[in-house]
Amino acid sequence: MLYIKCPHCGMRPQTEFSYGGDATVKRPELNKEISDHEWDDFVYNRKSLRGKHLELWQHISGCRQWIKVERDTATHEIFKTFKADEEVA
Amino acid sequence: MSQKFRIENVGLINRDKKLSFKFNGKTYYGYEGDTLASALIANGVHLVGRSFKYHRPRGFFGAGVDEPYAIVQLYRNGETEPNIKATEQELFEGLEAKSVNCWPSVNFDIGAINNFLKIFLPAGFYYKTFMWPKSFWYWIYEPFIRKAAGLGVASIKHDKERYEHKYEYCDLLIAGSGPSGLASAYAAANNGAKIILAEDKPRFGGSLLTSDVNIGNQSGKDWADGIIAELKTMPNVVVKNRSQIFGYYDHNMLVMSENVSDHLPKTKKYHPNKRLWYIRAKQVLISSGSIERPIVFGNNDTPGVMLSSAAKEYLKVYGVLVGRNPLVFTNNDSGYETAIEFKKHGVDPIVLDSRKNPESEIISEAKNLGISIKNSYVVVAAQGYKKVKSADIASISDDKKQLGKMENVKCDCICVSGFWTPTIHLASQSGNKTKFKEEIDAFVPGQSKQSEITLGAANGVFSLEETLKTSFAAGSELSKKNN
Ligand SMILES: [Zn+2]
Repeated sequence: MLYIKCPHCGMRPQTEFSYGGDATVKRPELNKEISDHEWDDFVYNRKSLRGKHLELWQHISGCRQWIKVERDTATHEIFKTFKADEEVA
Repeated sequence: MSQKFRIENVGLINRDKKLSFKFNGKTYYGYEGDTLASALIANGVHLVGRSFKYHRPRGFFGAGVDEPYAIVQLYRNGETEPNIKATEQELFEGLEAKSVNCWPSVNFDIGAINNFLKIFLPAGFYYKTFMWPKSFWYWIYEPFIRKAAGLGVASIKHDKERYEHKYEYCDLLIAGSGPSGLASAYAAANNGAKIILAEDKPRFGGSLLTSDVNIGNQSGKDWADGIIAELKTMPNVVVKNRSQIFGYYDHNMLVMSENVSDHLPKTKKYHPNKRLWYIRAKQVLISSGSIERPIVFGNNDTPGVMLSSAAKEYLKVYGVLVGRNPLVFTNNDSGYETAIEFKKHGVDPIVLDSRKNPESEIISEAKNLGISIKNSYVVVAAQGYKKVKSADIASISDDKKQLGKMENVKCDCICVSGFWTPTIHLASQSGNKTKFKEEIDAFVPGQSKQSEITLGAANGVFSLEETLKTSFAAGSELSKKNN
């Protein structure tokens, strides 16, 4: 079971969090002509990466904030966690 | 019924408290501190079950978690639980147990006919034969097969017991309270680290309970008792017996099952039956020891064939003789420890050693005690159906390829020692890739994957001195890391 450092609360077990998917997906810009293909990519299509992956988690049984977690999907190593509004290089 | 195989003044059981229990409907007596297995052996009962397919008679092979045969259906306080190991179940007043996988009884088992028909019963026989006609399946085939082949029976009643979950964290989690676990716990505890020490058996001490060793000027067991007593007084230490660490998950999360009530006739009010611990440990020290290996020979599943370490444990912990006419079959020095224990308690063992000319301190000791030793000898087959009656033995050539003339020797048990296999499950579960250690012909943990270290016999180190030294140093080192 993973041990995740919530930037607001500290180290907490995985059972307090719920997974929110890929954190790198960008919503298509507003006020712009958007193709069905772009919508499709935004809503459905995800890469199933092996290795370092930036993902969203919600600290649902804690502060209830959304956070970003940089995790290796193969080894479960967690490199760093960020607040949801933090820019990740 | 008298306990014919119990000897006086030996063991760690409480002889002031006699307990009665029932096995297959018959009443027997044992003592507080017995397991169901030790109490049955004390009463001369060795036939406890039947094998799965051929229904061959099954006895006791080990003395703890390593037991493959002695599985029973347990009845306790109006409830029943299937597939309990008799070697792990502690005795309590009024315990009831039954053999599984035999019908109508363990002594007369219809399925055993398969044993004699086995050339006609190829793999998959059941699946292929009991298919047609289809309508027969539900009413005729299935109930019959279930009755004849099944293991235990699950209870269909609502379970009244309570089961607790608990979360805990610590600086150092130690799995196993043998010499390695105790030395490291002691060193780390004195540095102020928060420690959990888990032992799956009721008694702490591991191999120290059965070996004839001294640590300082104390016996191994007294040393273990002293350390446990001291650890229990320390506020930074949690010491748990009857607690088995059975899972090693990501980010140093381990799971431990604590048996709170199953050794009592009835669960105490407000107590759970079992407690599941989720432990997040900064460091894990695996000191889970090793399990003796069996040796292959004909009919080595006959009741009365068992591990030599188990025979020694029954004698030293429970004061029970597994036989009065034992044969010890070994390929290493461990078998001699068992033989010497037998001899000390007035039983004359014969030792068969597959090695040609082994020399060591313990072999000299055995010779000085007058134990008869046959070098370059092996057991070819055990004889006897429901219990070992004799053994076919023969000399073996130096290249281990040629057998000499077969002889038959009378014996009532065969204690086998095929050296030791480190218990490395936890290290493997942590992601640690094992490596093969030539000197001991066994796998040991390789490079640590998580914050874990394996020490003592679990790491293939069988010298007590070295184990104590490395464990003490490791405990001290690991506890400093956290502060
Ligand atoms: Zn939080």
